[in-house]
Amino acid sequence: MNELTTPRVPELSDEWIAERTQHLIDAVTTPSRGRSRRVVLTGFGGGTVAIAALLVGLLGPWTTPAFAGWSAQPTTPSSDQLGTAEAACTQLAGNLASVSNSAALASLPPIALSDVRGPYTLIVYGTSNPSLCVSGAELTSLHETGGTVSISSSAQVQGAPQGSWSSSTSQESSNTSVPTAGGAVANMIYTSNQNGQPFTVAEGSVGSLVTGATLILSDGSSVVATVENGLFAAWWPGQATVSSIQTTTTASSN
Amino acid sequence: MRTYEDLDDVELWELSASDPEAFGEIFQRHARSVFALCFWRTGDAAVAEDVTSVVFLEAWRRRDHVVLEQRSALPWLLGVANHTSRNATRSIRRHSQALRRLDGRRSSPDDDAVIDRLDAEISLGVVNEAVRDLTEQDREIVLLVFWSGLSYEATAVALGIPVGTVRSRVSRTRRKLQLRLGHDERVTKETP
Repeated sequence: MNELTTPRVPELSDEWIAERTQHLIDAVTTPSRGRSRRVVLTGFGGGTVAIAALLVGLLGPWTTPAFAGWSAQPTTPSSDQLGTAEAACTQLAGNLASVSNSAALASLPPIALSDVRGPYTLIVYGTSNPSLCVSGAELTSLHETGGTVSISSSAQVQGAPQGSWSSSTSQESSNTSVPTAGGAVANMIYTSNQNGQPFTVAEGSVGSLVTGATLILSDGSSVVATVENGLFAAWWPGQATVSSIQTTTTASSN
Repeated sequence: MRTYEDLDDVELWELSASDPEAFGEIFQRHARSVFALCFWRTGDAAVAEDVTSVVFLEAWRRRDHVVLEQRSALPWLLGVANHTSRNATRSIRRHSQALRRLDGRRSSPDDDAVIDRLDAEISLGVVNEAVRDLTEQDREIVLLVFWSGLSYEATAVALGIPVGTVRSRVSRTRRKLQLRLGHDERVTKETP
């Protein structure tokens, strides 16, 4: 390619090389004293969902107990809680796209639902094969579907301090049933964990008459879901699955 | 007795898991090539220096994903450099904590080095005129194939795409440049 001259490059001195070499060695041998985070990357297959990825960034075990402040009922978001959660989720999506070299994962669909429980915010992005993100004091977890992620080993959330990172798997089930006018169906339920403490996220569709939904879990407990835009979403500590869904409709309210 | 210089990148990479000095040897081998790409990307020598450090910090962080082509880490490192320097400011901010360790240890360039840098930056600006309107994909080909001199196979590793795709992109980019450079030459001749 004689037509396009290779631009010249400033000379790097041997002193510079030596200085930066030592800096690099120091950086990779000295553990960060800042907060550490752990990331979990998981690939799924099944049904019409080709591949799903779950990316979870977690603080170290010396932080506050897992899911402190979680509530079985949705709560009112604190000032800028939604904005903070959205920013964290957007950044995580970008990081996931970066480490997976998948531009398709870089941008999230519009927000369809926000579910707030104490310091935690669950955001549902999009309505078809939605991406789900849980963000809170100790946790940022992003679950994306329909992507082409091929990450199999460790990765780190970019922007986070250096720390330990590992991969793990989680369980997921999906469903594409259409709810009746007064009913609800779970579209997606998946379980992940934070420092060994599992948590489960559920997302689904509600009928046109539904104004509220309560998830009855397999351990006998219940969680009130947030219902917006024809969707419901909730999450809870533990691995309990959804046994049934009780709905409140405009008809029953009247 | 074998020294680091006797080892290829594959051996150094494996050794670096228990011996960070081996990673330092990889840096010494490839820092100038990585710096060149970072400089072409950013157009600023000082920024390119820090991005070069960031590239190797990123490489260390992603060392489980390394792909060594022909037992060389350079193509993969240039791929990291290509990605990292594209968002240089953000990349530096991301590793600001590590870079702060350089504070007070940075050697200031002497007058000749300052002039050398300014000259290179000005020259780069002129050359960049020819590629400024290329797409991002075409620019990557210019950076990696035409300027860094990577083979098609190595470029495929750097960009994480099939070799056939590299071939077609090179062909397309070459055609565009030939058209552009030919056109520029004609315009120059017609200008009084």
